Amino acid sequence: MTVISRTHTSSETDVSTAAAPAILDTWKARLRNRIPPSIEREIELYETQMELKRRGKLDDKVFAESRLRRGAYGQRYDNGQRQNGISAQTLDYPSGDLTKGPNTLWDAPGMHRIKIPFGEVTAPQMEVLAELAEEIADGICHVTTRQDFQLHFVHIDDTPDLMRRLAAVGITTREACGNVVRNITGCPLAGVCHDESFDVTPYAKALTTFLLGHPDAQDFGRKFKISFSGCDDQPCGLGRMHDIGLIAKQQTVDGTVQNGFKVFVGGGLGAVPHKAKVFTDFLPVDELLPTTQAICRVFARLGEKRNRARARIKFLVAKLGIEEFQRLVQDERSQLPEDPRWIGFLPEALPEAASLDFGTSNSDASGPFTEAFETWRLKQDGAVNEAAPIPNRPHPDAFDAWAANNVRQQRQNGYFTVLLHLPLGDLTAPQMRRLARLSREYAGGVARTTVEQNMMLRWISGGDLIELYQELSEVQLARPGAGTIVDVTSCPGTDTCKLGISSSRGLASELSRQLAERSYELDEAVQNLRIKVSGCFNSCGQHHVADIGFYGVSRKAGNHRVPHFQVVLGGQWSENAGSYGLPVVAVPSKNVPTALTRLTDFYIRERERGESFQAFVQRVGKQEIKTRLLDLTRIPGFDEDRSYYSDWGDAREYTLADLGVGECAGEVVSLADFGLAESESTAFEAQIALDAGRIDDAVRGAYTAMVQAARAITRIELPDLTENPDEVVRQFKTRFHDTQRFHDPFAGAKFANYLFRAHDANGDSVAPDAAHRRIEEAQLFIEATHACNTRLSQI
Amino acid sequence: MDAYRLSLKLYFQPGAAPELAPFISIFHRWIRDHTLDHLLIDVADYSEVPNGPGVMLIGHEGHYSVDTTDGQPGFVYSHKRPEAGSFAERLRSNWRRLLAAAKQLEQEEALNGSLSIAGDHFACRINDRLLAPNQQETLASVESDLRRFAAEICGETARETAVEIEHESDPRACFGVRIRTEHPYSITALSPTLERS
Ligand code: HEM
Ligand code: SF4
Repeated sequence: MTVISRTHTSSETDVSTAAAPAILDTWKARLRNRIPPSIEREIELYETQMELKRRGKLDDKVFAESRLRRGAYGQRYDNGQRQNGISAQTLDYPSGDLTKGPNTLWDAPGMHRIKIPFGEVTAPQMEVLAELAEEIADGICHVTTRQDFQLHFVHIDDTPDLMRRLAAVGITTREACGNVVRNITGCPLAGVCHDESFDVTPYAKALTTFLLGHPDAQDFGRKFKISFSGCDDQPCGLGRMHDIGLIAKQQTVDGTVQNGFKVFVGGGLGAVPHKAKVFTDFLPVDELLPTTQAICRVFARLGEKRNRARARIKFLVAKLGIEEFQRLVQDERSQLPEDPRWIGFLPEALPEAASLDFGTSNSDASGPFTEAFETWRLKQDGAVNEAAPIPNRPHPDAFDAWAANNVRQQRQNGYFTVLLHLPLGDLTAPQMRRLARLSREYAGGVARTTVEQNMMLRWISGGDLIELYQELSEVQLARPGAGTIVDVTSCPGTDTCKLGISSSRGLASELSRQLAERSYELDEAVQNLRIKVSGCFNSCGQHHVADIGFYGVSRKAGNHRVPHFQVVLGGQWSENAGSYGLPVVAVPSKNVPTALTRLTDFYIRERERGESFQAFVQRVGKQEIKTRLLDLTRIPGFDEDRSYYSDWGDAREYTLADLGVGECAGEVVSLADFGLAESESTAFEAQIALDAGRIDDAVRGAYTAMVQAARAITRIELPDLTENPDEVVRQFKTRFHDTQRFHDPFAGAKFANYLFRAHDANGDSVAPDAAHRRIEEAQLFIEATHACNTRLSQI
Repeated sequence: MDAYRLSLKLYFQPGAAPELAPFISIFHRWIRDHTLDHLLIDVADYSEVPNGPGVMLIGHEGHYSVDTTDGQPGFVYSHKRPEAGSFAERLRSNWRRLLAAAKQLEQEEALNGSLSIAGDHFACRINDRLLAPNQQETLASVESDLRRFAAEICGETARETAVEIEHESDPRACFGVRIRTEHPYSITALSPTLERS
């Protein structure tokens, strides 16, 4: 046998830590000296819990919370059941009915969320993420809408070593999920942005470290999300949609410039979005940690614990009123025992930083101090190349188009940021490895993730831009159009999320493809619109703050179900997520691309000079827009066009085929459908009233819509039910709520409670933002009624 | 070599990379019909990612993908769960899994016979940096098994086949080799030696 053996040596110069000889054959042994003992103990405790669970000695709920707090989530089909388009199929896992949580099978693949504070990842971290994606997941690193990474299809047995390998490069997955402080997000441009007051990075870092595992931040009824922004009017930090939004601000006191934050509390998306309230206009930086701690304590003490649906801090703030909330926090703050960590982190306290001046600043917006800090911090990670302008020499044709949207000049002369436009937030392990290498060569060894599911390299010398572009192109990471209409954001939706109703990724991918094909002909007015898609009302894709948002719903057509998306308009991405959109009309998934084209064409044709999309929607009115989309809501019969009955990127039939609904049920169901259509119109009118500033009409309309929907479903059993709201609510409650037939499989009584609360409050006058919420609740109640109607017709 | 996270890749003929879309329905149907003899769970569509895993068929023991991750389109099986036996035995069992699926694909009408495998080379990776770091020692420990295996899949008459092993030694990547055989192997039939083993 002729035998040839060749070895190619790669062009990589630095040697991976992963390439050490395999003498020690567990990660635990291998990484012993590289993981802080407290973290190793944490992981060992988790392994013990896994073992106890395997032996049936640990409660399902306890174990589920334990793994969730470490970022190990369930994934779709993890109850061992999967619809195959024709019937429900059982997935027979080898470990049988061993579970890792209520109704969650041990062997079922899961998702692992990896927390990346303010999105900053170092080259070694990127390499470990790539390794893990390749070895224990599906080869893809996915960037989320909160700057985290997720790996999918991970077996729980592989999670302890995943945690070890991440811990060895300084990443903890601790508190990535659960009722805790989630990843603290921040502008990816912090430290290099023209608009910022100062660099929020050290503050985001300090708050992350301070709150991680802090005893005052463990006893919440619900998750808690914090974000940092460098300025008030750019969208990067999305401050107004967070439980705490911190916006950098400077104030001059006695001739000295002081750094601090404008603080928002009680914002949040989710099913019913709340806009945050201003907690204080200026919180000096040395008050950041203690005041946040005090807020956590008040939330832990007074926040709702039993009813998950009312447990976010937004409900507490709404209940107490912002003044009372402020007072309670101030009281709490004044009683806190002094903690040296409160100010120990301040950049001002770091002598090395303060004494440095690298002279790269050309901005008045930020003092030389923070400038020096950013540069100093960077030097800790690795040197960046000398500043230089972009050379005037021949470059690839596509370079200019790419640079137009993906490259931005930093505040520091001669340095640029480069956005990597990732399709649906995904990149492969080899791409990630290459990115790690490029970050070392060009960007000081770090990159950042963005809430738009992209990644960013910073501190790129103008002199390197063309080479960097070429290198990125080699691994398909030089996709143009970052931050434009083709850069569609999406939550995981039905691909992997258990709550997904429609395929958000499928739709986002299709929209992005179609828009990219048309991009050369797209009007400039449309180029910069943001599209965001969520697979359900929970808003993980942040559809409320998009120019054009979509969230998944389903509708019945005959005996089948058809995937739909609600078209959400009126949201605002700028001003830190300044306003939230509302649903206008539900369109079958397969018609959404056409609906989008119509909307954008309409805007291009009829907008007034310089008119923003929000202003346009407000001027022409949602009624007009709805009218223009109405024909698209028609669903062709099942035999006429079956494509409507399956979702984007999914070949299965969306609905259970041929359910054999009896004649009687069929008739009654159509009566219910009729009533539901009526309630939807009423909810829509309520929106129109709200847009026109007729608050009382809006509130009344929302309430009436809920009563109509409740009546529609109740008439299945009580066809002669009167229209009297008291009677409708009473009958609905006895027949559907008390019997739990209306309960949502995940949210329980949440939606029915919207009706009961609105009924109790009927006649009270409310503020505009509460009216907005009431309409949102009406919409969700109607969705829940649709879902209940479908469930009933399947029995 | 104790590592069990083996990944084997067949390459499509140059210029014969199939469209990805039909694989979505094919894989969904395989799950429904239990087409392969292990537990199939889900389909993951990554067709939007350039040079990515394309469309994946997620199984409990391992995943299949119509993959371009290394820049060249092909069909991959990646094993994920612990498996008994020697490295040589695991090579064979994973090859069987890969071939069973590839054979099935060849019969899929939706692909219109567009699937054309280049039967003269394949790749083998070990997705385990703990047990198989990408270095010469690892190559040395698996090389003879790989050679024997490569000769075997070309059938008994191909015993004298020249086997060329190319090792991509980027220390950060998984251990991976591309294996070229002088005589083509068949993807529609296991070689008689493999059938017997
Ligand atoms: C098993 C999968 C998931 C479940 C069950 C889930 C559940 C939820 C729920 C119930 C909410 C509403 C929370 C509230 O305000 O009351 C929410 C919000 C949200 N989720 Fe998820 N989610 C899942 C996956 C994800 C994923 C994969 C992402 C993407 C990174 C994500 C990001 C978000 C974001 C950004 C919000 C908006 C919350 C805010 O800022 O107020 N979620 N999720
Ligand atoms: S919005 Fe809905 S479908 Fe999308 S990830 Fe969140 S819970 Fe899942």
